[in-house]
Amino acid sequence: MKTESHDHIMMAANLTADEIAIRDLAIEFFSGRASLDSQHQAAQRIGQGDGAPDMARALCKEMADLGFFSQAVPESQGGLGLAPKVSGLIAEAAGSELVPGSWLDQLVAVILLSDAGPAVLTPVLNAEHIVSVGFDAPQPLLRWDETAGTLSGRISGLRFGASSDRWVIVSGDHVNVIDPATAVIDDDADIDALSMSSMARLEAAVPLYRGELPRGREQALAVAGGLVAAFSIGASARCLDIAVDYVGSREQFGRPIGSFQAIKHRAANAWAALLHARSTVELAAAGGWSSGATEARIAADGCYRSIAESALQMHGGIGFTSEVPIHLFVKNSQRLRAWPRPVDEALDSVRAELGLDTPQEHQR
Amino acid sequence: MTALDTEEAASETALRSEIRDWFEIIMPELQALRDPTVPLTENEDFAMRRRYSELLAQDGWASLAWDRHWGGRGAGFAERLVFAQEAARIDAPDSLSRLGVDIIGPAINVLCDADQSQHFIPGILDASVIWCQGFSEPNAGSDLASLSTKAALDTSGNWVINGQKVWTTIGQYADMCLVLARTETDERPHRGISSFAVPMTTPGVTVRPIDQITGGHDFCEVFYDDVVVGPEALIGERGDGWKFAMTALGFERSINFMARQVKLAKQVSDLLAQIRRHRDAVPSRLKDRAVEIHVRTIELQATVSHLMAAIDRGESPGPDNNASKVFWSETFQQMADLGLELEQTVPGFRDPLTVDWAQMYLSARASTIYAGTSEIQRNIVAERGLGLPK
Repeated sequence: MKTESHDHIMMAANLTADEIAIRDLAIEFFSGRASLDSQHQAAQRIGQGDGAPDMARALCKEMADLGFFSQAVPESQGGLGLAPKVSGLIAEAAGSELVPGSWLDQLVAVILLSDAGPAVLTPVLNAEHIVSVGFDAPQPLLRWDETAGTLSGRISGLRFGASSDRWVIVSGDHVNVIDPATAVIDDDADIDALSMSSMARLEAAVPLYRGELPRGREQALAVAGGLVAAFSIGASARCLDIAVDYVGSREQFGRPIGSFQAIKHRAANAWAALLHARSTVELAAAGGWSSGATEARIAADGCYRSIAESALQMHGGIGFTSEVPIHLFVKNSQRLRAWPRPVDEALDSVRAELGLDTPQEHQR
Repeated sequence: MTALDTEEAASETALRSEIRDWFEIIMPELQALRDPTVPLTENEDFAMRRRYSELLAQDGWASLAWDRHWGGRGAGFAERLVFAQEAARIDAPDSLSRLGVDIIGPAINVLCDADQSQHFIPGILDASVIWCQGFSEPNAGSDLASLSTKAALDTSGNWVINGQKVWTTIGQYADMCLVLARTETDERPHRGISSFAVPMTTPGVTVRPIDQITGGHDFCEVFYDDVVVGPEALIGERGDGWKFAMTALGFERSINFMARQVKLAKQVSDLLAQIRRHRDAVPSRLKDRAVEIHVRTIELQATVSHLMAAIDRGESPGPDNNASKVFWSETFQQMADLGLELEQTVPGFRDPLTVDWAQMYLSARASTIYAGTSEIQRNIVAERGLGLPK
């Protein structure tokens, strides 16, 4: 069922042969190895989580072997040194199969750790260490004790924190690699209906690595947010395809329900949201996420959530069941809303950038 | 950046400064046509628009996108975008000859033979003949093919046109109207239509400006009562009217999305600047709305680049363009609504000499109706873009 989504996949006109090859490889790999259909079946069988940890681990390993992580690392650091937009292509391809697990954290981590040296970087590149990436709040909740060389405080927004080998935590303009064994995980925060991220505390944890971010916190967030946005576009397009197929075939009153304007206009709104969010993500990706990435993240978030919700509504009652995979999109779109930072915080950052804040508002 | 990119960037910069210099020279002359101490009146606005169209023609900018054959520069969308951005930056008026230069002229150029093109196009490009477009009728709006204005051949080979058109933009200022009329009654609706070039001074043509909710008169009703025109008024072949309309609408859609996005980006940027000036008094809630509008504006900008790239590759923007029109018009309304609320909420925000937000709010109501209502646009997107059944 490859209808609209792959006709539109990012920037087809502006890709080099290498980039097209890796994009096609990603599409083929994800649809074979982690297809939406297989996840839908698994979700019906074993519950509705975001992928079993062992599957995420195996998937990351295979992705590493295919060069999906090393493409994002400069050649001087042992990577393939492809353009930043390639990570976007991979993320979009993953989104169109709604590929679960921590591969996105892994991809972001290799970008954040590209200057950290082989001892830290290589095990992440090879997926020997499965990582979770978390971003501290703008006013840091983590305290760095310079003399003791320790990190303490609360971390939120850490996805799959309980099942990963390393935590890569951005606080201020630094990136820290933490052994989860040295942290306290608050399990009770992990059990709501949407399986949101873990909450954890660090008590004088000694980072395995601590270094300055190559391009600062905002840019790290922009890249991670840009990749979430690219994933969201792939997922939105797939979700819309499913809904459009359904309303084109489901009949009531002797006609396909997709022939009714009330349904058509909902679908058209979804198309419009997708077109605009996709163009924004493409442009930000083409520019290496150096401008417009935060706006792209905000746009893609709104697009994804609205399309997922709309697709559920277009399905009617069946959309509220696990018979169809729409619920996977609804839940995923809500989970992604909080990572790498809450969308609300991204909006605050744009607002500050536009110079609309008073000094008091800026402090907030 | 490749060498080619660098070269393109350099030529874009050169063009931009050429355009900017030109506007520096002509804007004072245009500004002199209005009284700067009171809000712009409709008469002043039209005087500025007319003079602007003459200046564009005189200095060769009207034919920027036209072939060298017509004295133009053969500019592509990238260059037209630069021009549109510079025009928006300096708040240039809308050219009165825009319909002719961007929409009707290009359609004539595509569909007519060399003689007919030579007859009509020079007057369009030198701004001596201002064109309007007689498509919509009281009972044929979104359903254009149901139009009922008729043109019949009389015994001496002239055409006699009878009917009524509505929403004829700048009808009261135009010299010539491109009228769609039914010449065959037994054909399928869109097959029996022909197009005619009708001088607005022809006996039997009556123009009645429509009083809009803004107080302005951008559109007219135009009545055709036994209007007689010669055989040379028939554009292209008999029965080509629908083809003409679709070609013209194609040009309209491919250029309009660029112009409207560029203008909106400027308006939003002005609004953000005004909020910054009043930031201590603007409620936080309204600032958040401004951020959302800003994000939508960025989305529109990116989408225009995307659509332009598609056109440059020879593709048709198709339903993406319809989707973008909906997105643009709703963003425009959100902006106008925010501007008005700021004016009502923040003391000193109101500055009608630059932007009258109440006026903007009212005129924004039209944006989801003209050039295809949002409802029709959504039907097109759903049927042609997503393949949903009729």
